[in-house]
Amino acid sequence: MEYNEKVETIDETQNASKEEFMQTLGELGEVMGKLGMVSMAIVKTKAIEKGESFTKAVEDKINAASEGIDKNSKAYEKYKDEISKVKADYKTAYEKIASHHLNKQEKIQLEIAALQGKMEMCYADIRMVNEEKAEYVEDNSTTMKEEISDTNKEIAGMKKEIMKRVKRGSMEQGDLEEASRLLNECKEKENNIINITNADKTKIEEFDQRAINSEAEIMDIENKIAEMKEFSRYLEDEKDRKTNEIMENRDKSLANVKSSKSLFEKAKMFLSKTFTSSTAKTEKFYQNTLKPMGAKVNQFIDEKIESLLGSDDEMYKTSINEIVPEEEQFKEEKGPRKSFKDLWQDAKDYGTNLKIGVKEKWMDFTQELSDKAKESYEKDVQKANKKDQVEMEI
Amino acid sequence: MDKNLGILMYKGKMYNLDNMNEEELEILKGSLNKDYQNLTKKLNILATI
Repeated sequence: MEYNEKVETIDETQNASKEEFMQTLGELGEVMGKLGMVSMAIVKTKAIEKGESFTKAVEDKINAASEGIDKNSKAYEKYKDEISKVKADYKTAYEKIASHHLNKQEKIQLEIAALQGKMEMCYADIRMVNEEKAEYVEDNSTTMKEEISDTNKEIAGMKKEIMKRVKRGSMEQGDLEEASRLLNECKEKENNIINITNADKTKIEEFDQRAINSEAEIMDIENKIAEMKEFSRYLEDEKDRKTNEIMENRDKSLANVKSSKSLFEKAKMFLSKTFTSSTAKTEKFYQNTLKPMGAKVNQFIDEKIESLLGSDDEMYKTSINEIVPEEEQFKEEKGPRKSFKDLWQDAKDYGTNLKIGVKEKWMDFTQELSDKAKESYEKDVQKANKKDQVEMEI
Repeated sequence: MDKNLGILMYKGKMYNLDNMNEEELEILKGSLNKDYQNLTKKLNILATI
């Protein structure tokens, strides 16, 4: 039991250190990626300042970065395959960013690649578990079987002795007491065998469970990849649909312009025929006003047709960019949103202004009423005084 | 010359790499370099356990 406990502790330590290592390696990869981006931004700033080629500067940087890992470190020796993979991913990501901005489709492709990488890790984990299990069975189970076999032999020998003692049953020699003691010892040994067998079973079940967990994770990843591929197909279909829509609209616009031009040509011919046989005054009006105006309209239509026919590529590219906008671009276009706090302050200011306005109006109104009342009162007083005076005079 | 590098998320903050000057970029690079050194040290320890 002590031996098994020790083995389990070593296994746990090794597994924990491997897990921690892989996690740290992932973090290192992320930091390297970010470091790469920042370094590239610096390269870009410097290249712009000097007016040099950014692409060339980035290529030089990639070559320099691929030599940047300490090959003498123990970590490199132990995990050089994983490091090579991180390095390769780093270089791919670096080149990807250098070549162009990623669109939604490409982001999905990268995520799928990352998930496939994770799936590969799961497969590797299953292989590792199977190897560990085989190693355990070879080392521990064989030793355990030998141990059990020896103990069983001991038990068989003890049972013979018990039978012998029971058969003889001499009170003077304490046969039964000895048989009873031996029996207890036998039971203890049998229990030990059961315990060892159970521990072995648990250990095997743990291995199997780890493999099952990895298989479940693989299935989960496969489902995620399938969902992402479906979404990618949807985006592709949506892009095709929008492109067709744009092309159809373009054809319709072109047809409209052509039809307008044809109508205009007909009208021009009609006017030209009409004015040829007309008076000198109408001929002057045609020459000075209608003809130059017609030429302008004609030029406008020609330019319109030319721009529609000649800008296919640009128009297509612009439209595609509009269909799949970058998230950052989307955010930039939308502009910063007002916070709830600002909106609340606006509402409060509005309420305060409204209150001030109403109060002012109320003051004016009451002042007006008061003035009118005062005026009316003064008139009444004057009237009453006059009446009193008249009465007194009478 | 007109390639965009976009946004970088680092320690919960967003950095628009296209709008930063060289000095700001060097400071950010310094922080990332520290992380890089620490992680490399950690990896070396874990590899020897």
